[in-house]
Amino acid sequence: MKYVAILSAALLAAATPVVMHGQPAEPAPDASLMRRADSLTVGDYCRLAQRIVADTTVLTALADASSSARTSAAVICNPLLSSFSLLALTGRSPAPMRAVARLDNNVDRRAQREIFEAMEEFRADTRQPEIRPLLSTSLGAANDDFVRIAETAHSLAVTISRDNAVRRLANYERKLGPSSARLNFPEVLLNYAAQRWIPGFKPTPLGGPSPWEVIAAYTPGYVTFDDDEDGILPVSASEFGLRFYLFGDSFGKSGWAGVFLPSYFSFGVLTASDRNGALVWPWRGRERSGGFVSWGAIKIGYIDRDRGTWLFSRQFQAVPFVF
Amino acid sequence: MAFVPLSIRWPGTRAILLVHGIGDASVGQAGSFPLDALKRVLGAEAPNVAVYSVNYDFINDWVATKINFQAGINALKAAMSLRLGNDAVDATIAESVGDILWPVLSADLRLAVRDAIIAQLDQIQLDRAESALERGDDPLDYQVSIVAHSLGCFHTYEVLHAIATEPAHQLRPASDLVTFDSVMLMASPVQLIRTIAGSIGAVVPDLGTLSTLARPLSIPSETRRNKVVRCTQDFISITGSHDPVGGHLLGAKLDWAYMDIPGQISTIVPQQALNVDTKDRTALALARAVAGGAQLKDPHAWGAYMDSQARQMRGVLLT
Repeated sequence: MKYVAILSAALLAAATPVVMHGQPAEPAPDASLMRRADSLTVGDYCRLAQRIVADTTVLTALADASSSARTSAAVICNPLLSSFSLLALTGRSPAPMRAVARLDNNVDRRAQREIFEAMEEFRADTRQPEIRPLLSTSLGAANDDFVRIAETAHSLAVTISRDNAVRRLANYERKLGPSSARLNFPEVLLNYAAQRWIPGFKPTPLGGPSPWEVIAAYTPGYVTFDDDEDGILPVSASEFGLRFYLFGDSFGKSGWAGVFLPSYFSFGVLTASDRNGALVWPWRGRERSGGFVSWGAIKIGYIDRDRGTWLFSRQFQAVPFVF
Repeated sequence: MAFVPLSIRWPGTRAILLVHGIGDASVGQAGSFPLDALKRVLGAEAPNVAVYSVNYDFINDWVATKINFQAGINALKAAMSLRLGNDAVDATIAESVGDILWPVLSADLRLAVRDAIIAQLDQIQLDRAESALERGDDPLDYQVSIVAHSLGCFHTYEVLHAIATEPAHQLRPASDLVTFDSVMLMASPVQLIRTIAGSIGAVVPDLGTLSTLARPLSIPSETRRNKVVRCTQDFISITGSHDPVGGHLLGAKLDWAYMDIPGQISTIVPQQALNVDTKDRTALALARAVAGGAQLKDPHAWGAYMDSQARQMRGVLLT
């Protein structure tokens, strides 16, 4: 029962609310873009693309890019996907019934992605500054329609890029922000070295931060219970291991939810002296080693001391950058 | 709370992104960006310009709280003090100016700030498209400029190089048709960082993602179908004759610290009137500026740069 009480105390301590420090702003409004993307179809794009590549003046102006534009137009004009809205093409809305009825053929995610890429390539070729006036003349009133559909398709691609950047930034916040574990000086050096020389530890421009972090800490905050003595006994230990940050919206909760869906977990080996007490050198006397695991800030350790000892703690730094 | 890029429905056909530097902005503080100075620059056109600002102080705070890079920062400041002359006042100047150097020591910090600016640039592209299309205009006729100051110039330079070559960001000059009307870097420390961080290059992590050090300084561009397209036609550097961050000390240009990129439009703002005529006064002005925001005789003040170069800025931003 006393172990349960200790664990409960650790849970309560771990449930401390955290304050996030993001930049306050209104949510990005994509509603009008999504509505427009849902009203424009691949077939609409195809008809305009065919008109453009049928104009010899435009093709002449495109020069080296003319064959690319024709190829892109051919890819865009896939009859099996003509009824797809631009939104459906990105998978953000259901495929139309007519398309669903044809799902036994080559309409798949790969084909959708290829069409989307062809639209981006077609835009890059035909919307260059020197080509735009020619297109306006060639298409007449339909030029507005082409601008509308080409820019809508491109905007959908931009939303994906923006959302990926925001997701990476949220992952950086998970690993570096207020709810992350603080590092002491040896950990700063070890993680610096790991980022430089061990694959999987360094951040990448498109992947964001690595979820891994090296642990090398002196932890005076463990507690245990001894049947021969009264009350809770402090234990100091050294920890060496790894911490893994849990990225994604499902984790990184604060308050009580954070107990079950925390920002990270960790595991490793720990060493403690045969003497109990806070601020005891872990290798003093007959030291014993064991292991520890944490789920968020809650830590449980076990060392082979006497009959075996369970240790409980919470992730914290008593002295910033030290331990 | 997660970072959410600012979204604005453009009142006209122009937008400006402000990227702040060290000591300019703190989350929640009033007057973080020199908006009043920018309004004076834009004059009657101010209500028709969408002004975005990207604040990355919260990322600096994450890293400062998470880790302590003081040893590395001290090494960088010592290297800069040596470059300046290595007397006591030089060390004081290096102490103030050296704060701009620490992003080179943390790849996490650099890439996180990069993502914040990229997300904001993506949102600006989306806002541009929505604003133009709902009026029946062509989004490519709408213009975006970037105005950065101090450390913000370094992050802007890094972002512009990253987006010019990386397809995933959808911001390439040729392939994605994203070119900026102008990019104005005020008191840019890009060359200063290149020199100082280069002197301790062995300890700078992940050099490959650091355009400032990895290759010769250049205006970011993309080559598509053998055609080189720059991110902007107006890549402008403005710095003061007495601003060490911008590569000048007491009216003299420091070649090792002044950003001089081939093709840039350079303006040196005379700052004799500030009466910062000794190293001691320079050190004092910088220390006050870093500690408490812009000061009266601060040769590095963002708002003062805008006021002094209002005519040039108006000509670039509104034509």
